[in-house]
Amino acid sequence: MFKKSLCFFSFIVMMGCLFQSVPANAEECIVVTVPAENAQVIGKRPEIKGSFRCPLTSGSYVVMVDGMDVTPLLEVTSDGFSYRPELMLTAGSHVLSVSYTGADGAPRQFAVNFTLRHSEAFSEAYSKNDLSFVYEGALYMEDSAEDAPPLLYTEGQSVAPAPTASITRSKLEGNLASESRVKEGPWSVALTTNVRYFDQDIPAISPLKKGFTVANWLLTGNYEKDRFKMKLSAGDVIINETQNTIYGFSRKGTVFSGEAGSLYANVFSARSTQTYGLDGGIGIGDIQDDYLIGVSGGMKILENKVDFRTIYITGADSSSAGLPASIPGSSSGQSNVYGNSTTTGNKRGDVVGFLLTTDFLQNRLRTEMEADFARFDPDTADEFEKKSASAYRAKIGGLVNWFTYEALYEYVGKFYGVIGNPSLSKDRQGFSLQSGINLADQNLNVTASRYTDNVESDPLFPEIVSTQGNVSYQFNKIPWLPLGLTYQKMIQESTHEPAGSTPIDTSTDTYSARIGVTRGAFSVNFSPSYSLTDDKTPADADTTNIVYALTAAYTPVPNLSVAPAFTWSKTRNHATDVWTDTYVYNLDVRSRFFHDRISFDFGGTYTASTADDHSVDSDAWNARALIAYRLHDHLKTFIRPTVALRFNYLKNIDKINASAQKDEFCVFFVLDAFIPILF
Amino acid sequence: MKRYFPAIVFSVFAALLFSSFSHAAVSVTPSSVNAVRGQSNTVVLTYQFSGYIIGSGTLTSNQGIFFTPDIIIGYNNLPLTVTINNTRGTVTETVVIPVGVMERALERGTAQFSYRRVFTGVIGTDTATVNVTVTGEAGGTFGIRRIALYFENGRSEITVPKNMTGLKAYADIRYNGAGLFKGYWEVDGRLLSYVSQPLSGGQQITLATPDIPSLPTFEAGTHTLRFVVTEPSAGQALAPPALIYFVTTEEAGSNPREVALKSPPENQEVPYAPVKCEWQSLRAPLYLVEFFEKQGAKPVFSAYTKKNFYLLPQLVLKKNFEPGKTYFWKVTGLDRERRKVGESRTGSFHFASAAAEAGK
Repeated sequence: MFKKSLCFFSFIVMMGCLFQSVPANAEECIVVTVPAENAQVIGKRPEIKGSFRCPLTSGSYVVMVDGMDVTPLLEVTSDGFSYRPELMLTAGSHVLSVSYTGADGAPRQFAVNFTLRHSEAFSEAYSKNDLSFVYEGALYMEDSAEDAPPLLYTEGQSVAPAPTASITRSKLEGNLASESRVKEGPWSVALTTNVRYFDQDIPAISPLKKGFTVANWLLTGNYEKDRFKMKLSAGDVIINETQNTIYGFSRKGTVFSGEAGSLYANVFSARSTQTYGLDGGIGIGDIQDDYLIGVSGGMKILENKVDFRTIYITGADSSSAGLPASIPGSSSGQSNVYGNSTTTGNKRGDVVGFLLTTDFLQNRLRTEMEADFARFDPDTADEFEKKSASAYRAKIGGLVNWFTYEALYEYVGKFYGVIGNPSLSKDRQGFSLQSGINLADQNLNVTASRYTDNVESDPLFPEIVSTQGNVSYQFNKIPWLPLGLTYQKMIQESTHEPAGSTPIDTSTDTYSARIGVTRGAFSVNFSPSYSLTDDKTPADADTTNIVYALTAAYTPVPNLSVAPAFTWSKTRNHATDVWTDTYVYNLDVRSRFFHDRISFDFGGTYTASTADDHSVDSDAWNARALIAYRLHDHLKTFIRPTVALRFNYLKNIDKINASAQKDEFCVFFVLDAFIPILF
Repeated sequence: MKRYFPAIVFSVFAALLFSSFSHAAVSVTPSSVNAVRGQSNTVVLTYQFSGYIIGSGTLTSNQGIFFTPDIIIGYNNLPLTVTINNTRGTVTETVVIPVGVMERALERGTAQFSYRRVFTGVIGTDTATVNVTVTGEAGGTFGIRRIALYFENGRSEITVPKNMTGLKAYADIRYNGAGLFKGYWEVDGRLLSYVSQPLSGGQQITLATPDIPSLPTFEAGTHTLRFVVTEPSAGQALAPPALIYFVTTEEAGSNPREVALKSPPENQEVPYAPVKCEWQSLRAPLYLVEFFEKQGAKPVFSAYTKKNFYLLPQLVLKKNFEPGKTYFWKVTGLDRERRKVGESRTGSFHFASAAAEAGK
């Protein structure tokens, strides 16, 4: 009876011990006081605190946040510890785990789970803002050729005046880089932008503008829940569809993307022309001759191994070269254009495209097949309407261990054109093959291609066949001595030439090599190249082109870097037997002293051009240097100022055209500051 | 005699004027051009006048005309005036050959037409004619059709921190024909890199700014980057496009230096006990040590430390590491702003197996 009672009570006690929940901190040597278990913490860098309930020596406990040991970063006192993460923690669940050796020598461990919200209203909310401020004022200016005509450079070609042709004496710039994001549940909205202020004592050269402008901006809204996703982007967007429609198209616009399981769709509207600042808005609205609207949709099946997409795009483009048509004047009066420079004419067109891609063998065998049908008018000012044309593309390729391969066939119709893709070559068909062997210490790549134009055999035009082959070999078995050799052959021949047209029959051989040496802090690369163009027609316009390029980098200590470079280009016009040499010497120096407080940076170029018929003989020196002192360490504020002196030197010596000579030296005082602001 | 004197003077004058007319000539460069079908073409024509015996004057052309042997197919209605000084004069014009002009010629069964200007004035009349041949993209005179510049973000503008390394820009160049291509990258008026290479066939190349010298980022403020084409130069009329990049006053982290791992030696077997991982000091305020079961995978454990070594705690060893297994480890040095200033290669070691430990 007694034994039975004893067993019964022992069982009760044992069950009581088993089912009694042990408080996380009960009888613990370390107690986490902040945050509490399962607490919801508001903040971005929450403070973590703990207290010691028994003597603990350093090394006898480990504190980890999300599996990362932060023990060395704790602020420890005899009573406990505190810690605030250096970087903002992401919103959501986190784990603080503590391990220590108890008084009995047994390891103990417990964890505190908590949830982080950046604010009451939003689980994630932050705004990271960086303010930059730059002021430059001239201390000394010497310009011996203030009224000189535009520069003449190398082979006598007039050079478009560089943006710094007129020297500014004072300049004030500011930039606010802002990145803000709020998230709650499946919704999130983000805005990134750079707001800029620019002012100087001389007129600003386009596309720069004085005053405030928004250099770039992008507003995105996301909704993501389970397998359903939506995204709306407005501002500086990039539109990627297919190679024969538009790809890498970066403009002001609006893009909406939706994805539901295996289905996806995109709708977009953008400006055709490249704009700076707020010009272009969000790319929606009736702007005549400057719009691009499209829609695409697709489906991924068989575990995303097959993707079928269809696209429709319509638009108009009034981009021009920046020059009014048929103006009298010299070519040296050109000005810059922003981003891209192209031929004139208002273009209009639309395209329907289909793309099928497969990847059944995890990148070992990929296929792409595309068909596009376009109507395109390259100049709406004339009486000719849009013309229809089609384009087809089929590609197969893959990567098998160290072997890569690819085969491509393309056909682009005579009148094929797409708004937003002015780089497309039309009226050509052909194929290209590529294979490569990529081992750890050696690489061999071989490519070959053959394209013909005049795909419809128009008797008014010749048919031109372009054949190209390339073999490239890299040897890296000796780590400090990388070697490379490349041979390229290009052949261009015309057939079925109509009466009066000039035949083409040229062959170009190019041999190039690369030799590098890396020894400790010093590395040098030498790349010679020789090419001979043999014109087999009666014109016999042969040319020889030789280029020697030598670059080096020397970093003897972490705070000093010297990078010289030298390029010698030598060309020969066989018809006139004139050799032209161009030498370019570059030197870049970066250095830091006194715990990075003082910096000296230099970038300079010396260029010399000569022709053995004495038609060209010029030298040019151009250098900029900056000596700066960082005041942040002395001021200990959130504002990080730097003072500096900037030196500019420009000298042109032209023995053919003395009026183009120039000698200019300027010294500027620079004050800049960086102010980070995080909300 | 006196009666005939005005007639004699008039005759001499007429003779001189006739001589002036008969020796006067205009040449146009280039005298023939190729125009690519399907796009407007811009050519620069230079007219050189010579042989005007009678002093100075002006010649004007009210319009240029495009014509085939049987019909006029287009007009250029912009006037052009040249001043003749000391028997010579030069004037240049930029002519756009519209798509419609070429199509009208092709409709009439010919790919060749002409462009003519007639210059008239008191001192004479001269006609300059340029022959134009319509070609496809692969043929024709070597010329640049389009230059598109962009940064790695695909845009023509980028904002980068001060002293950032590896900033690259690219130029997509579309061209007709074939020939020797030359040009240069220029930043803030300073020539950075010269390009010289033969082009043929492909119709498009992409150039990138070099690694050395790199785009300068040591000066805060706005910088302008251009690519200027010097050859082909004949008839070149495309304005060089420009990119804008702004260097902020926030400093990028310096180039990560290599951190040499000291111990444990590579692939060494170590006892299944707290192992001391040591590396070359960078004088960085903080280091991040990471341990992996597989290279490139998520770390199984990581830790911050302020010294150039880390002693794996016993408490962590038992929980996160197993005897007999190989682990990879890597060290990253961080500056006060927690930017990477150093990085090691991935090292490895393996713990002795439990049996080996028991044997010992």
